[in-house]
Amino acid sequence: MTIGEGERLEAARRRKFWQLIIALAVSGAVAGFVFGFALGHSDASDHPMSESVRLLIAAILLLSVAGAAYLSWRFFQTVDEVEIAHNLWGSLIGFYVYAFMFPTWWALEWLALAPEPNDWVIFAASLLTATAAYAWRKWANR
Amino acid sequence: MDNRLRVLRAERGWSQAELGGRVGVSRQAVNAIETGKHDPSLPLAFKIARLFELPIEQIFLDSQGAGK
Repeated sequence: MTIGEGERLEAARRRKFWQLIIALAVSGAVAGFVFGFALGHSDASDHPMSESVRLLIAAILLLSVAGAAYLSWRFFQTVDEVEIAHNLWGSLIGFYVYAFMFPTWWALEWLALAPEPNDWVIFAASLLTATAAYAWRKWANR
Repeated sequence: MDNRLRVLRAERGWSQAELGGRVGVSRQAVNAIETGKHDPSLPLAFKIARLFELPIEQIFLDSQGAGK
């Protein structure tokens, strides 16, 4: 192995990493756009969406999810153990937010001290916390 | 865990990216190991030891055991 070959291999690995990130972002954007379009269309129109259009949207969504699952699998095959550790810590912290937030909110509602738990708020909080924990670890190890 | 990775790498004139490429991890991973923020797995530690042609214990130092 000649000097510099390691850097070439590292550059190739980095390129693959970003290709997978971009592909994952594209699959998420497609699913988001299709569903957003369907929601907007549904809200703006007086007529209910036809069966075939609903099935088409569902098919695109499911394909996007399958694509994202496959790309995620490829991602974890490609990355090293430090990147996996960042993902695991981020996921664990996000899970803890969910595991603590939902029952606490539910109990507060039961005590008539809070409104009914909002699943979207809990979902967003879990996701945002997981992302923030991941980003913090990436930044600290840059 | 303490290690001599930075010194061994410098002796060979390798960048972190160069070492990372040779053992199949990112430059950030090499940095995390060198600064003690990440303890490498056994397979990675063996890979690094093979690359430097040294026993693992001459690269990764048992700082806890040394004080006992």
